[in-house]
Amino acid sequence: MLWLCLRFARLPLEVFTHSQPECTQPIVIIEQHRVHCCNAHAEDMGVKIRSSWATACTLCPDARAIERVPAQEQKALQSLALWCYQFTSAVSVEAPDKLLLELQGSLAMFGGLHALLLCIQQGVHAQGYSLATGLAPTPKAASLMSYSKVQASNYINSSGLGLVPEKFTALLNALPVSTLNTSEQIIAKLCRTGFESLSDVLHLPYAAAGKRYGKAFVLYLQQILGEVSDPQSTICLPESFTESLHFMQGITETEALLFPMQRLLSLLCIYLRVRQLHCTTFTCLFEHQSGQDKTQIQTLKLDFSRPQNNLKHFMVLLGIKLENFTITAPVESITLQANKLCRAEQASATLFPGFGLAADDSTLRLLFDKLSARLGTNAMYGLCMQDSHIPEYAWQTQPVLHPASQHKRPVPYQIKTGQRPIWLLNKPLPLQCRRHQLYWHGKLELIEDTERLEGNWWHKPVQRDYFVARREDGTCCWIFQDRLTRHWFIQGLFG
Amino acid sequence: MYAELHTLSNFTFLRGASRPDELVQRAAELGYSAMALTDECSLAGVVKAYVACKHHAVKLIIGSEFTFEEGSKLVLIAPDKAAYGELSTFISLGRRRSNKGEYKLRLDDLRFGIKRCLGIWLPEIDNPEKSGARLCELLPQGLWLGVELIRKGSDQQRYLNLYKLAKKLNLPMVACGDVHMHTPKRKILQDTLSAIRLNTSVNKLGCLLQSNSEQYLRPISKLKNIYPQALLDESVRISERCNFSLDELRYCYPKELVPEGHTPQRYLRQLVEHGAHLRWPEKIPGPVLALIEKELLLIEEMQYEYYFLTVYDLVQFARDKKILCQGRGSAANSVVCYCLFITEISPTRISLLFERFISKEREEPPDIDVDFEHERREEVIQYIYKKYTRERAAIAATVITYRARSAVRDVGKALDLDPLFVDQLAKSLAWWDRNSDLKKRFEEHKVQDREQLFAQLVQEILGFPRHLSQHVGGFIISEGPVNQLVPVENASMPDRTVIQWDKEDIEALGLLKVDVLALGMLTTIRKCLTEIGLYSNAVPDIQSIPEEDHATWEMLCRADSVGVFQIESRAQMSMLPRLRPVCFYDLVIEIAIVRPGPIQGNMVHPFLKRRSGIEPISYPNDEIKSVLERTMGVPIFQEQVIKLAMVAAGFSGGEADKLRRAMASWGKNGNLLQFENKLVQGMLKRGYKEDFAHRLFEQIKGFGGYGFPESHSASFALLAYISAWMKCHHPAAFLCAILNSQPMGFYSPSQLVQDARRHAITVEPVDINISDWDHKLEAVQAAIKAGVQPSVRLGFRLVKGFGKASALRIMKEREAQAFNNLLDLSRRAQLNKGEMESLANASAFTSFSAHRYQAHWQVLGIEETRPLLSDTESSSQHSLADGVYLPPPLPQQDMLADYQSTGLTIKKHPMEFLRSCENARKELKRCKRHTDLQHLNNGRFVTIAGLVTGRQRPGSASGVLFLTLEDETGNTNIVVWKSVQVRFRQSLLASKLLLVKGVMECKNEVIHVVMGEALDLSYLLDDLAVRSRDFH
Repeated sequence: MLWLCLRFARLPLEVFTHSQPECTQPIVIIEQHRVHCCNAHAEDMGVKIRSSWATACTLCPDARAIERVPAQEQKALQSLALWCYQFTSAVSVEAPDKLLLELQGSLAMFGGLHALLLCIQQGVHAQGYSLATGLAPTPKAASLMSYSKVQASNYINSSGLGLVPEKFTALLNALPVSTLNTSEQIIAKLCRTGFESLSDVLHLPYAAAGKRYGKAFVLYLQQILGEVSDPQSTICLPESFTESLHFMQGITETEALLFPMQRLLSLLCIYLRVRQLHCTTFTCLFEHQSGQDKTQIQTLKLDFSRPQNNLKHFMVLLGIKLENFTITAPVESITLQANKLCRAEQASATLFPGFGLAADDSTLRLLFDKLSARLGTNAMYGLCMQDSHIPEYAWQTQPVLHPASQHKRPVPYQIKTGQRPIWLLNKPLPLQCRRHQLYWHGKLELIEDTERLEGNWWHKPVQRDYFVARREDGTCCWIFQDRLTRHWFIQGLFG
Repeated sequence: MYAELHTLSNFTFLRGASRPDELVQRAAELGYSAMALTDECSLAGVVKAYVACKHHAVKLIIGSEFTFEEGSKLVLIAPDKAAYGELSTFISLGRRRSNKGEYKLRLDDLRFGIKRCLGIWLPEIDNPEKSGARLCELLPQGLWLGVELIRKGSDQQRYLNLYKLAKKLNLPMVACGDVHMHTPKRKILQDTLSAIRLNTSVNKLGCLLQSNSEQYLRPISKLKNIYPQALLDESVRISERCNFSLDELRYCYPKELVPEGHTPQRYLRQLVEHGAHLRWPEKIPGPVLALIEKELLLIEEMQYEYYFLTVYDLVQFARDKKILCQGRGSAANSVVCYCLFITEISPTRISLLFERFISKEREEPPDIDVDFEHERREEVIQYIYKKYTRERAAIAATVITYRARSAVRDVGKALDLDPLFVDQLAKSLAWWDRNSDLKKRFEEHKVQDREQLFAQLVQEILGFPRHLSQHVGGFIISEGPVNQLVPVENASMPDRTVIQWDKEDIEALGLLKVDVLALGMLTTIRKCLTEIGLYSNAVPDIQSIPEEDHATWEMLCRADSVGVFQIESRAQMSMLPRLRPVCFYDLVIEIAIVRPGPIQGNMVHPFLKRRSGIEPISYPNDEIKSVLERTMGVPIFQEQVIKLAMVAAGFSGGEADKLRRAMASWGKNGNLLQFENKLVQGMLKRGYKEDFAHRLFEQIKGFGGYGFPESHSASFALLAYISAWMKCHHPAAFLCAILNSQPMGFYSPSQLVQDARRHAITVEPVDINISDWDHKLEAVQAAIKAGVQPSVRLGFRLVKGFGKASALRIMKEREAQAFNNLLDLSRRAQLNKGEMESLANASAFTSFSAHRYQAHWQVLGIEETRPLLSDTESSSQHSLADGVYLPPPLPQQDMLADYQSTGLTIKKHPMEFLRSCENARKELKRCKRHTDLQHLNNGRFVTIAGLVTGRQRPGSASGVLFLTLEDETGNTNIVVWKSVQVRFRQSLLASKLLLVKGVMECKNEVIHVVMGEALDLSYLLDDLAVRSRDFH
């Protein structure tokens, strides 16, 4: 058995920068107010790992600070694991930042350790990640060796199919005690007993060590040395494919989308190959921020008449589709989804995409489908209430064909408001005012009390006095006077 | 006319958006006849409103708003003193039952609690009748239905409903406004406060925000359009029934302080006379007798006897229990206090100025602060609770308000800005960097539209109260139960309660307050006396310390003052060799002169110039000479400023004190100008030249305004002298005492020990069979015989991870028999593995094991066996090693481990190691050490390196930074000018070990190195546990 450990030392940082490695801004990753990781530009300014965020701020005020996102690191690690599947089927994840590959079976196919290592290193670098490698006969030893300052290629033997034992042992023994993957208390205890490097620890009598540091620790040592077996659990491949790329500086031109799309599509192809599947359609979601809080998504869907798994094919069709596609705002992330997959030979059945409607609503569904086919999907919508005093924000449309979004908090019904009309106009329409008399296709007469509504000063201030007015022909209207401009408008009609 | 009866101020924390004084002022401007301040279950803001009402023509009514568990909302107002007492007790009831910051009240509580207060009911929307009926029954003395019309739509309908309800329940109606702010412009702030209170951002609050900004103090003309006249008139009618003023709370002093058959005046006089005889056993000097008379007369006139009697009682208690204590501050200006043994400054040592302490014009009761030994202050506090009971004594509150950083954080969060961005903004106000380009930062984060709002809100919210907290030592003591004077609520410390008013409020109302403060140096002094008592009976108490000891003055002139009270800081050490104190009064000046102000940096104080003869001294006449002679013609003390105004410009004592106060706040308001005119006019009338008068005023402004009170400086000078004398003559006992009183003072234990060792004190390491919990003197008799200082044995308290209880067990077991080995120790003293490890790491087991690594290995091998087997030692010391013998640590590893486990080392200093090791950097080898600098000339280029143990940037010293570098021979001061700081910013900010190249400056034996270049060598240290203390 021969294990290779891939350690992604800067993963917390590179999950943000890997798609745009040429970024020149200093970037600092923060966890619990301490610097966890930073890029070379920040290091140049004197920022150090484990220093406090306040110190980093003072040394490098231009630094872009990002809170660490472990979930994103895990996803990236999974995606890298998937990518490694092309080299061997024995891939396991050692959280938070390592992958373990068992290579014995793949050596022949890839032409020896040197070639294989080179291939892997180049592939990882191309994806924008930095890498440290370690080789060993056991997975835990390989994990440790990834911390060695000496590169793995230096202790591969002349045949290229194994390691040089003396060199390997010497390097392993030289590693400091702090690299051991055990609790901080145990490492502290080891240091206080004067143990500095692994050579001091690996050859302690097991009984004595167990008494002092626990049986689990002794087991760990034995697994490092290969005296006890250490089975690894290999990764499971997901059922469908979803991968994303994030960009710190948004992409503004359509042509610039091709390169990252190609990366995503090649990952898709690896996945399809490994699972022996083809896909009939995939969807690209382009996400961008517009103003505060809102993310807008532009979708691009590609359908194929026959199931495919060919990268070239994907790229050609994508290129054609992108010609007619315009980006409305700088794209901050791209997600590729492929969940309609099938075996190579069968043609996929035309599934009717589920839109969250109940199964027994079949006649309704049919009606919606016909209408959307005739008028377009955006021509239909429903209404819902949002939590706000200002009427145009309180009343929102929602598309009928997508599941209703959950409110963060139920709208409090006990709030006493004035009357509300049935029909709210899209936009308030101005009224005419001639000689103290209001007109909107007829004279208006105020009948009910004022209701004063104010708010939204953090975005666009609203200050209005609302009235109910009756028109000559009997229609009741909901009108207001804008206190800032002193103009009159109508906003709704009562039944 | 109208009276607003339902107002919330910002003391309803995070709901009200205006200060009490803003509300009062606005109400007066609008012509309201009265305003009731009705914060929610609180009277925290009423005193501030009361003070404001003195300057505005509007009547203040005291009240409070409550929301009961059943859902009803009620405002209670107090028409008279008894009703006020009810209200205060009622609030206390609600607060005491709940956690800090909350309250719980049921309608039933009204039955017995409220019989005189008037109530205004604010009916709920659904089914109000039931609670309305209940309230009618519970408040027969006066209940109204409050009508609040604030344009929420359907106001008319609402009014009709309320009218019907009032008719049904037969209640009169009154108009009120549910006022949350004094102007509608504060709505934005009010929304922000709501967001902060609900821990979210404004845009997510939705309908939880108020829908409009009508809840402000509205003009009467507007109100006339909204409410029927009858309802407005009713508010005035209610207000006319209320005639309670907070002045009625004065003069409720605890009567038991005066024994039967005496009046307070007679009793006080008796005590003072008795004390005077103790102070002057031979004969009381004539001038002193005159002063005593003068003071007693004023005390009697202002009826302040109880203040003195209360503090006298506390001080007597402390002296009985041998707790060292001393009055501080302006109280030391009083001979009466001296005779009562409250202060220790005799009128013969400095000239006292009673007017600085009490005067007729001040209208404030005396503020007598007393310092007690910090470790025993709790005993004094318990005595107060016991004597007056918890009903009559309570701790004053401190109002925690919004400062710059908290304001930025909370407003940023409310505006939904990115949390890390907000963090960055908050931190860039930090002490190092004061420039923050707000606009640019907002642009970078794509939120430029919010920058104006942000800046505006932060400005508005600064100074707003956030919550109440317990004051450090201020107690209010009253004759009757405190909760009838002011509501009492739960503090966050368990078993502690706090009143809703702070020190200012208490003073404004003239209530009795005492301050029980803690001072670490008093503990040190007492402990030192105890240690000295082990080998000498020459110094049983402070009074037996000889005054004006020559050796002590010499020591201070050399700036050898590490550990000495008040004069041990870097700034003080630079001043001592220049000022060269040789008598008590010099010390009084020394302490007062080193203050923030224009004197920092390189500017030389004119006092020094005159003392050294550079500047001539002259006085225009004898009057001024009598005031300024003792400070060479330069006004240094606040008392001199006051006396000058009296003597040269004819101010009365009280007016002169006002001038002094105006100076203390002259940056903040424009009071000073009126005084300038008066002073100049007064001086002109007395024949001084105008030019001289203006110059004198400038001088006063420049130095007197920043100065200490002379009395305060003198009280501190006493303690400084005592501690200096002890350090000079009994350094081992002093070291022991000061280490046992940590944490306190300017220096860490590591620095104190290093200083002592440089003075030839031997310090012995922690040893399991010798050390106690406290540090102690060793081999005392032998040392005294040989004429040297005893050694100091370090105690277990120094060991990290080791507690007092375990140390006491060790000491007890050891009395029977010393410990033989590790097992013996762990069994008999019942120490767990963690504690054994801590001791092993601190190298306490050198008598059992070869070295700390082996000790640690052996300790880890101890099995926690059953007690039955304790006799048959199944594993001996030998087998504890399990056959493993570890090599000893290298000396530098040993030293580092010392720092990690105890915070100090008595082996070689890290710098010594770094210099002498084989692959030492050549720059380090060529460096000078601190002692070498003495032999070099002024202006010489030097290279010096050391651990960075101090960074200081006094705000007014034109941006100069002071660094302290510690090496094995001492501490060197490095001066870094602004231009140099910019080049070496990184190193200066974060370095732990710095190499400095620069020019040495030596003036009057004070040595600095002015930095030209710096090299950060922190990497040489790894994890040394010496941290630098950053000031300012």
